[in-house]
Amino acid sequence: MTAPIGVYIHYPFCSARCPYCDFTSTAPKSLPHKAYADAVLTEITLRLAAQDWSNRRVESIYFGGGTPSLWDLKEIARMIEKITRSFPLNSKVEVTMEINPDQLETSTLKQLGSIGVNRISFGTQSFQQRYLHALGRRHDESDSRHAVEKARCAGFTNISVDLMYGIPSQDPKGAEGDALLAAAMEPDHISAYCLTLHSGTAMHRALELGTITLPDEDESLEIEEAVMSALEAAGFNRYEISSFAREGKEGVHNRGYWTGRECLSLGAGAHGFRLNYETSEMSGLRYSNVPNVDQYLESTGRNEDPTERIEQLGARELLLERMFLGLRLERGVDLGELKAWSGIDPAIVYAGALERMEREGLIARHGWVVQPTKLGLRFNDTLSALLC
Amino acid sequence: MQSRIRNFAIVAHIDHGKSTLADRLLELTGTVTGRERQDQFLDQMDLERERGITIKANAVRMTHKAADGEEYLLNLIDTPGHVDFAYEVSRSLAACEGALLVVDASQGVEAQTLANAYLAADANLELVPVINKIDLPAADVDMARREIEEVVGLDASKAPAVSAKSGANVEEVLDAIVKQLPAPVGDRDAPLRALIFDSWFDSYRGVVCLVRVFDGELKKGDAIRLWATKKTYEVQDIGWQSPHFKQAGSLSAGEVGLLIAGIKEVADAKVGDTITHEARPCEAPYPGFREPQPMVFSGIYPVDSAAYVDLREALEKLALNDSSFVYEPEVSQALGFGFRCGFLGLLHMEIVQERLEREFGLDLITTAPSVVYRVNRSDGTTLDIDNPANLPPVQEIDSIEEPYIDAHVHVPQEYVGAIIKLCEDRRGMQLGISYPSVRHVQVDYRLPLSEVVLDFYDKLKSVSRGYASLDYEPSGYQIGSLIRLDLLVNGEPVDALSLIVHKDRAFQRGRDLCVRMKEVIPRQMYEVIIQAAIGTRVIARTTVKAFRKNVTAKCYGGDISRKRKLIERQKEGKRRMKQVGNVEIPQEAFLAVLKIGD
Repeated sequence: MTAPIGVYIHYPFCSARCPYCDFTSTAPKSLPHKAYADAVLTEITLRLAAQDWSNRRVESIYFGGGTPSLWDLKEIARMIEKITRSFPLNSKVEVTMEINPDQLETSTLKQLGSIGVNRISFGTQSFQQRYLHALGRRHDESDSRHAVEKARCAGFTNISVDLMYGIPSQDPKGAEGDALLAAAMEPDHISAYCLTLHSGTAMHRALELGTITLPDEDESLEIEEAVMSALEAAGFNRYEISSFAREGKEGVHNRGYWTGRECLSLGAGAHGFRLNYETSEMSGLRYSNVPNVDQYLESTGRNEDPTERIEQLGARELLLERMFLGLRLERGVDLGELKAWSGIDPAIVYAGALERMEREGLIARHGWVVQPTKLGLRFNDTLSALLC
Repeated sequence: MQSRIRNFAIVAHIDHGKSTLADRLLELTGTVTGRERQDQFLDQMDLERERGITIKANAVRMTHKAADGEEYLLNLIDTPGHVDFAYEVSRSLAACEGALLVVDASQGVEAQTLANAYLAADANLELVPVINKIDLPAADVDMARREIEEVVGLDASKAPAVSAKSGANVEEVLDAIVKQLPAPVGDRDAPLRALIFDSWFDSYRGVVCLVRVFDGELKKGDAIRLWATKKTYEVQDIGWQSPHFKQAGSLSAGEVGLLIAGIKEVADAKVGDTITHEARPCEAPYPGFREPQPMVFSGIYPVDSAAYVDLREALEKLALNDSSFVYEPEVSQALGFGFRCGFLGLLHMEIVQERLEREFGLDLITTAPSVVYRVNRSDGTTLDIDNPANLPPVQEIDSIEEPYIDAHVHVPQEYVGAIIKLCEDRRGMQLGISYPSVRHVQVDYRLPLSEVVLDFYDKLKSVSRGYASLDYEPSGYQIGSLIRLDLLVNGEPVDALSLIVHKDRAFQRGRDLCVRMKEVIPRQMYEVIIQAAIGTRVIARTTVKAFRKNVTAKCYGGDISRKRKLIERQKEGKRRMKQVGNVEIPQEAFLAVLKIGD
């Protein structure tokens, strides 16, 4: 057996912090391009030594951040080379890189392609100046609007753009306009997120102070529905709560998070996932690396595992994860498959919850397959809560 | 012999060091060895330690060689400390001749110092003040002495000034007990007369009674009779705690100890009952006995209906040890199968609920407490109702009577106005006001029990800044203008939320309840309409708005653990929710009536 895995490399640096972002990232004056790459390479070596990866094959590689497009291309090339040398690969491995739309010289994009990157995810967020401004983004609307075109020129055939909605001052018409602009660029994939402000971010503070306001609940729902229908009308299929794709262009890497695929995650603050297929019931662990970059560089510098936390998971917990994550997907979950995978029968464990979800119109059942309804997507957290 | 016995309690304001002083006395007399040392030695239950209140009485015998060279028996009687247990407290105090009144040297006389002093004085106890915490930098012994003399009205010139914490001067307390507290004055040759002041069930020994012998002598093998139950037993074992059980051949007039006599249930060893000899009974029992009488009733239901049997077994076990707690099965449309339980008061109810959850691992929903109403039906029959849901239809009711109590409030003069206002607000009828001493006022009111059980005691304490003490006894039933207030959730009446209220209060209660329910019922996928109704007439309404959406936008890497933990945490919250129709109703909603008017 060889099990598919994803590899995630976290690049924790940005040129400046976005006021809504709560991801692990810092904005130092000079970027430790090589030092950080060396550290990640060391982490790969350490994880290879600590665990057996011979029966895994890499299906996707993802450079996320932060702003990984700030990283020297030659360092990225070293990363990809090391990974492809160390693990068996899928023939059509997906290699994604997140790129800011203001950093895209066609020549750079071409070079990216030449070192093996075959999918680009643009942090466009919006296609109108007023919303970019409200979000505190530093690129402008023309950067957003020309991103896809430039990437196509550089030869990319798999391009995603981010679209954020529910932005301060946005109304349903404005949000729909943004969605139409996104679709008009003809990307292959759109990640459409409702803006969520976590405490500790600058915008969350502004919200608490009352200097900004978010659309109220009724309006937020109208906005969401306007965005969804605009994207669907333009031929994008909503295969996950926030993910839209043209046929055959679903993100391999992201889908892995929702289908119980392992992920070897590298870099400061990265969260990884590893299964133990040897036990009769499934077990596994989730780990996270130290989020502080200096600590990360230090420990890998000493050839020490940068893991900060490990959480052991039993079959029940893994099954719960598969259920709530799988029910984010349009295709839902296959209870038969989950039973075979986990060693526990979800049809028994979740009999009451499934019955209630169905009664409340949150899911539809077709034999072993359980799919979320539109309501089930809209109330996905309510649905998840029924699983406890 | 009796001249060398002292039976005493310790009373104090909270945190003035009552438990610490008790611990130190136990150590100083060698009753507890260093190895056994444990803080709050007398409070055996976890709950007692945590809440800092004493629920069960206790008695420990110490021996002390006094300055006169004689050896004295000192019985320290630890009394319960809450108005719910007012009767139990009075019985424990009856076993004593005196009490130590502990006052914190840095705080001086405080509210409960006075309230407890009133209770002890009411029980005719001799009070010896003790000034504690002299080790504190803010300690002011002279101030404390002055306050004890001026506010409480006791001579404090000879009051020992001690630090129970460090042990400094604590031996002076022992001397004061010997010198200043009276010895018991029973007649050893008279027929046996002994008071049961607490009892509990021990799985090895059966019912154990804490007794105070007033007259005569109680010996192993004696045939005894309990006055109230008229049942007879043979004394199997007798002794005292020091602090563990020590066997003895007899207990005679003036002594305090333990009795084991093959009594099967605590209900047969009633607190306040008198023990006498079968062959040579005393003429009259010790006065003041009352049958244990639950004052409030509420429904207790398992959240998971499969736990019904576990709940029944747990209730059986608790009732074995608590004769004032009663229960019987009942069925609610909303909550399913459960039990109607009777308690002495709200604290007692909380304690039972907490023990059920903690000691038996049950998840429970408790409904709002109710008193017992007496319904006179049109056909001439009467019906006792302890659950508002069981009230017959209006057309079958001739009148409804509600229970009343006579409340005696002791309070310093400056709070009399506030106390009167509170009692009037609670539909009270003034019985009288008297002045037992210069600044000390006794206010007597007849009040509907339903107005007292909810939060009267808390309000009384708050309007008197803690200085008022409350004591009450039942005073029969009176017809009231009472109606049932129903609560409807999404148009469906929820039987477990019904209340019986006074007609004049119905509208206000209905509105307050709707508002409170809105606060505690979490928003759900659907709108939840809450209505208060009298019969078919809706008098108040609120709406818990539906969520429009409830979804986490991003769920990658680290979000997954976070979300799983969130779901697992919700499970904890769910343990206290009951699903009624489509609506999740949390425990707080069922007790919402307790929180209105705050």
